[in-house]
Amino acid sequence: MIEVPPYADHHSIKEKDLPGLTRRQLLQRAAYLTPTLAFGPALLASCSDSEPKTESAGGDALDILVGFGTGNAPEQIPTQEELAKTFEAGGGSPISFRRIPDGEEAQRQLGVLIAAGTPPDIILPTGIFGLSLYLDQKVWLDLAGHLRDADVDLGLFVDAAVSAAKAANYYGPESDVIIGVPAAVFTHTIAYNKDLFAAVGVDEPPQQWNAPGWDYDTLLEVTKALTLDSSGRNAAEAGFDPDNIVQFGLGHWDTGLMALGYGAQKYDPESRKLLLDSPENIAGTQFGADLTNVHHVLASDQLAAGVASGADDPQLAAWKSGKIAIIDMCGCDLQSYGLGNEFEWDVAPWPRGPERLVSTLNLDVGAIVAASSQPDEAFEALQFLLVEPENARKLSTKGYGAMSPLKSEQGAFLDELKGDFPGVDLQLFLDAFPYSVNQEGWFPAFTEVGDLGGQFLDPVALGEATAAEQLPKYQQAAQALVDGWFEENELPS
Amino acid sequence: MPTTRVRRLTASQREAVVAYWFISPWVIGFVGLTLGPMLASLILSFTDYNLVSTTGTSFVGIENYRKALADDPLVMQSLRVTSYYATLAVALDLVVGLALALLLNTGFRGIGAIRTIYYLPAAVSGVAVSLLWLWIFQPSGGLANGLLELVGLPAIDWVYSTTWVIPAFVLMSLWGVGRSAFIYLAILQRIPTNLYEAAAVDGAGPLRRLFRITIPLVTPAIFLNLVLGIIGNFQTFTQAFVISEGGPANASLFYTLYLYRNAFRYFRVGYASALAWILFALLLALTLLVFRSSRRWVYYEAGAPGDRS
Repeated sequence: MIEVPPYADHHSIKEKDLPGLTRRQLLQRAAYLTPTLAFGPALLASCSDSEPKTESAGGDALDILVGFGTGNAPEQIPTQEELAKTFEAGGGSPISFRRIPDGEEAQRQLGVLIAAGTPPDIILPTGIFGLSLYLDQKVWLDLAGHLRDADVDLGLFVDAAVSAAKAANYYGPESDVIIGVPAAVFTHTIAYNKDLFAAVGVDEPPQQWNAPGWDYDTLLEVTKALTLDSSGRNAAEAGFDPDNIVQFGLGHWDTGLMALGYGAQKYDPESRKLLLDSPENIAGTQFGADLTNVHHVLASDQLAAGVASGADDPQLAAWKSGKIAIIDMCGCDLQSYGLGNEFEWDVAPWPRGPERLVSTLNLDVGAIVAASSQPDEAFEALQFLLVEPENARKLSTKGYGAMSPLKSEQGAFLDELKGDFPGVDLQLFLDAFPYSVNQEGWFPAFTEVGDLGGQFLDPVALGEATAAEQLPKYQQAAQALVDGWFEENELPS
Repeated sequence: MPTTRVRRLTASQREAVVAYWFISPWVIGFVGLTLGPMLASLILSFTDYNLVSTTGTSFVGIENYRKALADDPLVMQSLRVTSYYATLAVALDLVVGLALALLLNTGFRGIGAIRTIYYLPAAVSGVAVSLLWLWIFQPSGGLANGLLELVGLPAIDWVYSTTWVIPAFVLMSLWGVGRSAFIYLAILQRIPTNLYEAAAVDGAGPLRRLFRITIPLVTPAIFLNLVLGIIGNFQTFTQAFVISEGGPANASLFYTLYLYRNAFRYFRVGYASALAWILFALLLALTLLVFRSSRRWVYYEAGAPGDRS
């Protein structure tokens, strides 16, 4: 029979009623237990970094993290899965893909997975930016030995891709260290709306790189004619109303790149100095900002939203609705910006800057996490996926929508895409290589200096300050971070 | 054959055991998932622990604290941003919350529906709310500028402007004003009506009754909302993370966003831990200050400290 305590006991538990388990004793035990439970995780956490992080999350299966760039679009996944199955069928390790759709989230998760001792084996693909984020923390495995042992000829790859994977600013220009196998390359052209050009009677851009007369000044002149206000006046005409623009000459445009056309450089590894306040960078940055704030020809995101509202990506919406005449066209954007347009469009080369002709080169590689417990198996997988010509071609074109970094396989990019883009001169993407530079290479305090940029460059972009006012301040603050990095770290010898 | 004597617990003991059994999930959760990480972060704040680095962790003493308070301009910038926002948001929350509670206390038709509507934001994800407000604050085609246009005012760049990004977030914070309004309302409904009747007989008008009866009697709620507001607003994160990412020009670099960047972008967990404890100390100091000042301005009917009767 269950003994029901008297009602009063519910409200008055006294120590004298608990001879074997008094409240004080319970509290004492809790007091002993609390530090154990509390400090346990604390000690584990603080000690964990000194322990080698060697276990792989996937056990025998190779864990490939996809999310540092392209690779997670639904149409890209089957090719990756198919190649993984072929690799396994040929005696390789099974492969499991860890897919994280958001790039920043993928970067965070890599950090957490490494800290937890369960790192992925491979990051594929990752841009050079992604490599740079973790470079000085020695997250990546040096693949030079594996490549040598496997007799892989790096000369088969596009030079710029190999060069970027060598991270010369960190390891030095003479070093053999290489931390990624090239996986995909994307060059950039411009794309233009032929209908809008025809409507205002402006000549279309040339169809070959480095054509005379196609420079920043011409671009400005052309885009002024293509930028129209609600009364139909263009940006070169008197009475043009910049507050009521209905069509922009330029959009989806990397103004940061324009400084390179002025001859700017970001960092000099010899002197260990950033070059943010160089006259070239100041002039180029100001020119880029003036396109929006002075000439009113370039649609910022918020201005693009004004001519094509209601979309997650205002630049894409504005281009698709025929409200932007010229955009920067990355090979990686061909599907999103190129398919389904209800107007005639084509690509053309980037215009030449005052000092040089330069366009962007995006590079993706496959990298092995140094803490992987299966580095040899991981390299076998990378070799199968990225060095075997047929697989590399398939993975880059169908798996990532890119050009193969293998020189012999780049034509496949045209073959793959020409059916989707009849009338578009895709050869210009291949011809872009001599003029294309990758801007994502590592320099000291890479992430911090990049994040600091907004503080000084946003006012320039918003027209609240000039580049001449802001860039010396940026230089000073950023150089302090670089100097601080060298005080706490050393470059590998 | 030896026998084991099993001591039977008394009813009170059994009740105590059951009580501890019931609270143990929370206690274990608190100790393991809150107190543990807190103490871990305290220890880590004296180290150079890096989340991904393969080199060892070293004890660095108070270096992280010294660097944060003396050498890192972004710490001061983020504190300025956060203080500016918290001051405006807390003040607005106190005033609008009370005004809303006074309105809800009038008992007009449909009051139940209105109360539900004002409490709904508490149940909506912060990220979803942020995305909604991002649309509202779009300079072109956004609701906020649409309203300004209706009354003939010029458009504002809101979250794209260094001047307006914080005021935009402050306006956005009103979305959660229902929480403080309900706290006010609970107290308003306990104010005896005879006080108002007596005041009316003595010739006191509505404003006089508000300032001489209502506000003194709701000071405990003002006090509570002030403390909760300070603590909550100094930890603002989601809006800045989702909408502005700290920009433009770091004009919305909230303290917790900068802390997060250090931990999960630069992987400097030791330094980020120090930042967390600096914030904790700051909030503790502010809270103690408010508690101490409350003796002078919070009115408790039962003759507690501060009784002005």
